[in-house]
Amino acid sequence: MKPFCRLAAVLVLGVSATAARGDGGTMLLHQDAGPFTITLFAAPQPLQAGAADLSVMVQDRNSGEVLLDSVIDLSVAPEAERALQQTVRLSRGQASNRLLQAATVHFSRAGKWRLVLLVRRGNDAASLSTECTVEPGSSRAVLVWFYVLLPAGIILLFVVHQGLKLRQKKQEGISGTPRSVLRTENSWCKPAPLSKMNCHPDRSEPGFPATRH
Amino acid sequence: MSDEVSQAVWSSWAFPFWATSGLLAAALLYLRGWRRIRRSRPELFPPWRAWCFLGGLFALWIAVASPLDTLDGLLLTAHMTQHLILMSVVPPLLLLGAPAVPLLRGLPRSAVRDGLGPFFSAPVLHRAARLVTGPAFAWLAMNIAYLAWHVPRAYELALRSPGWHEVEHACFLGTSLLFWFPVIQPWPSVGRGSRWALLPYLIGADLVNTGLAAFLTFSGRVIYPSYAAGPRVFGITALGDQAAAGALMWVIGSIFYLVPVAAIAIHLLSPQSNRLALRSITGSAKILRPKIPSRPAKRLDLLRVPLIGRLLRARYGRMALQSIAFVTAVLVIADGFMGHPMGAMNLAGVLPWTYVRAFGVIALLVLGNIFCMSCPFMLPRELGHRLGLARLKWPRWLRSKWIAIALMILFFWSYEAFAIWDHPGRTAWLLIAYFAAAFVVDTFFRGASFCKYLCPLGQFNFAGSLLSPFTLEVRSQAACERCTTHDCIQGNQQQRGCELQLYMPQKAGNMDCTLCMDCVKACPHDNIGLFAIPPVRDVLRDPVRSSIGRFSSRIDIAVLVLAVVLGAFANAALMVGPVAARLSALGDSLEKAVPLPLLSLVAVLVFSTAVVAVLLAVALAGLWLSRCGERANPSRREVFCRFSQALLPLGLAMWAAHLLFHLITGWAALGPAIHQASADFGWHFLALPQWKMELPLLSANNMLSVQLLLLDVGLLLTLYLGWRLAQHWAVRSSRAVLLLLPWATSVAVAYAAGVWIVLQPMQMRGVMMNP
Repeated sequence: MKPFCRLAAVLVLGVSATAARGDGGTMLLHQDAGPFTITLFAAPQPLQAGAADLSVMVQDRNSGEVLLDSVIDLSVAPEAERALQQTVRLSRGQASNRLLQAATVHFSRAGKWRLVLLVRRGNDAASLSTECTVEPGSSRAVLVWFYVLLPAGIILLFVVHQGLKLRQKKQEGISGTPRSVLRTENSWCKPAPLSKMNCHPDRSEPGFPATRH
Repeated sequence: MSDEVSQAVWSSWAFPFWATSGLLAAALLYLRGWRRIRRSRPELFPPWRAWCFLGGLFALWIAVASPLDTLDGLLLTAHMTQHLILMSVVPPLLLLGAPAVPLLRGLPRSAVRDGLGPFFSAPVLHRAARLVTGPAFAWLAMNIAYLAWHVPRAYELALRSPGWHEVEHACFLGTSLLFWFPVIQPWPSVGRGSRWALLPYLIGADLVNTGLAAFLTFSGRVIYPSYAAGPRVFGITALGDQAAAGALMWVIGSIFYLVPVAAIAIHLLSPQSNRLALRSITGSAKILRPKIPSRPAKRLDLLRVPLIGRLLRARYGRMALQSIAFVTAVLVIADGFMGHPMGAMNLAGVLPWTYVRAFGVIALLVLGNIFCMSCPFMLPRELGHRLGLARLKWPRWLRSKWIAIALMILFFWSYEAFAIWDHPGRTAWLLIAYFAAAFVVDTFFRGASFCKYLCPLGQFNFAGSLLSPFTLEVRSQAACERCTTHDCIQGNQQQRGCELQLYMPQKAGNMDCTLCMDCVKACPHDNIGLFAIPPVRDVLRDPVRSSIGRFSSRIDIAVLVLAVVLGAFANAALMVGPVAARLSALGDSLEKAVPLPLLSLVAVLVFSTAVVAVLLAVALAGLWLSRCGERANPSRREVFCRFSQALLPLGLAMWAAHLLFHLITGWAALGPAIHQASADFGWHFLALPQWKMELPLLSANNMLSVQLLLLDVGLLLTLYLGWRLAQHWAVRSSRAVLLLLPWATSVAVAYAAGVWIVLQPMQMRGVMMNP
């Protein structure tokens, strides 16, 4: 039993670390514009139809210093239908990495999308645009498959568990351990012993033993 | 770096929900187990062990939640520091806490014995565990993982993909735990081979680390392209960042390997007596001491929890809850008649259908039958009782759940057929009818006849509370045996007894219990508690229950549970797009011949009867297949009744998934509805409502995750209950499988239907769509 305790502890602790993830996502664009150097990050990568996190870092073009007080507007629109443009203002509050400003953008469909960034700081302003390809969303399907297969995995584990238990019982039976006899009885389903006193005021209730026996 | 930027960096914390929850759970589990072991073996688990383990968890949290994590895509130095913590700080600290036994002792004993026990005793897993904790495997695993993930292609993959990044971190932590295992040898493990071998073991790992660090430090080009292409922050170049990261790995990494080398060498070279003492500190030596018997585990009794217990037992506690509910109900009725005619803008459309239903089901699953405890319909009924006219006994032939089941089906049908949720006036009439029925019945009949035999809401809650994790039980049967007055059921001068005829020494489970606390207040021996129980225990056991009998002989209770389960699926299905469209088309084509409400009533009745018949056939088919009359000889009635009750977890999961959808999408409707009601009543102390479309409380994917998770839990609990029942009835496991198979198939079909329903677009009732 002991080696497996160790392994179980190691696995449990190992799994706890799997929630670590970066912030900002993958770099989509890194370019100088006006007095700024602008970097656009996107997550997930590749972009998929549905919600996506877009983050922007603005730096001073000359010194490389991160500019935290710039105002950033991001407009996205499908290439085919520019009329469906949506504009969001990015904020530091939405980014875990407070050097960035972020917003959640909803890509309603797969295909080519145009992204336009407008950055303003004091009297300075700069604009950048880029294209990106949004792939058909698969996150929902992945999610559904995960949750549908999860019970299947647990059932499989339970089957193994029951098999091991049965084998253990058989081995105990061979070695003559009396515990196996006790375990084959399902004590949970035996009726609870009735108390000696029986002062129920209304014995005519359905199911009450006095009316049945 | 300016102050502002520095402040931004230090405030760049992420709070990964699952990792934080997992670490907190591990800490609580460890502390619980540590305290238990301390009672019998205090020398083996001194406080420093707990501090080490908690320190390890804290370091792990720092690695995944601090600015190190948020900056790792911009700075290689931050990323390497994160890896160093994961590989060299967290594992030794965790292992110094000797976590295996405390973590297991922290779990409920039955979970370890029955759940994990068979796995622990499997020889194949023993062999696997022995292999992976061996020094050769551990050394190779850690160093291969370390080198492999630093190959540029693998490293870039981890930087690009959050999923692979998580795998990378898990690899580092997992293999490092294995690596440090032979070095620390946490209790109760025993070292294999000579400890002298640990010197080359650690020095070898340091050489690998030194080689990689030197390569990074002295390379004349940037190894990982992402850092070369990305923005540079804090005025450091990509190459400078890489050299700094390499130096960090080299210096700090070497310290983590060479300090243990020195400690082990000193230890081995010290005299034998000191060596043994040191071994006992690291926990490697077996310390055998007489085992002190541990105290029996205490059950959680909510009535003994300081503040909650006092509130629950307060003389007018229930009445206060009921009064609040009563005033709310009166306001809902008034607004239903006088307020805005649109359901989503009226208290009568929002409060009962979006909020009360959802919180009622959540309360059933996490606490108990709170709705009946605070039922507003009981206050006028109290008034009726005081008139002194309640002399009649409820007719014996009506003492079952059949009328309540019929009323429940009628309620489910009328809810959809008359769109009660969208017509505040109809909701108001429904509430008035409820008040009137409770008043009339309990004015003339003794006890709580309305609650026990008529109230459809009460029956829903009684059925749901079979899965509740708390139940009222006696604390000591011996005290009941000595009791001669039986105040819990007969009452006394100050307090009436249980009106639902539940005699506490024989009460089992929550069926028919309204959590009114009358028995608790009446008991002169303070012998009744509100105890925590495993949520499936009530369905698994079949004792003779006071005033109920055995579940296996009560077809009406089985059908009640089926009505709750069927209601869950039917109610949710009727508001998803494809079903609503089909029904609408069918209604259009048949309406000329038959009125729609009548048609739908017939459809509901036919559908319900058909499903009950199918389930009966399925249960009997299983019985026939297994031919398991050899030992327990269950009757057909017993198989049908118990299998029907076992469907409850799936049904409640469907209710929860459905009602949570409405709560999550309509969570913001209550505020404006209150403002609207106040404006409709002419009360101007509140501002006019600001009607706008609010975003749901959770994103679409998160909401779907919650719904699917609920259905998964419901399915697993249902199958588990079915398996335990089949195991009880059948002599051999193969027979149990045959008995279970047809029923489990029907459960799987119901689960598939549930998944399909939550994947469909659902009507967002109680939400303003076009403000």
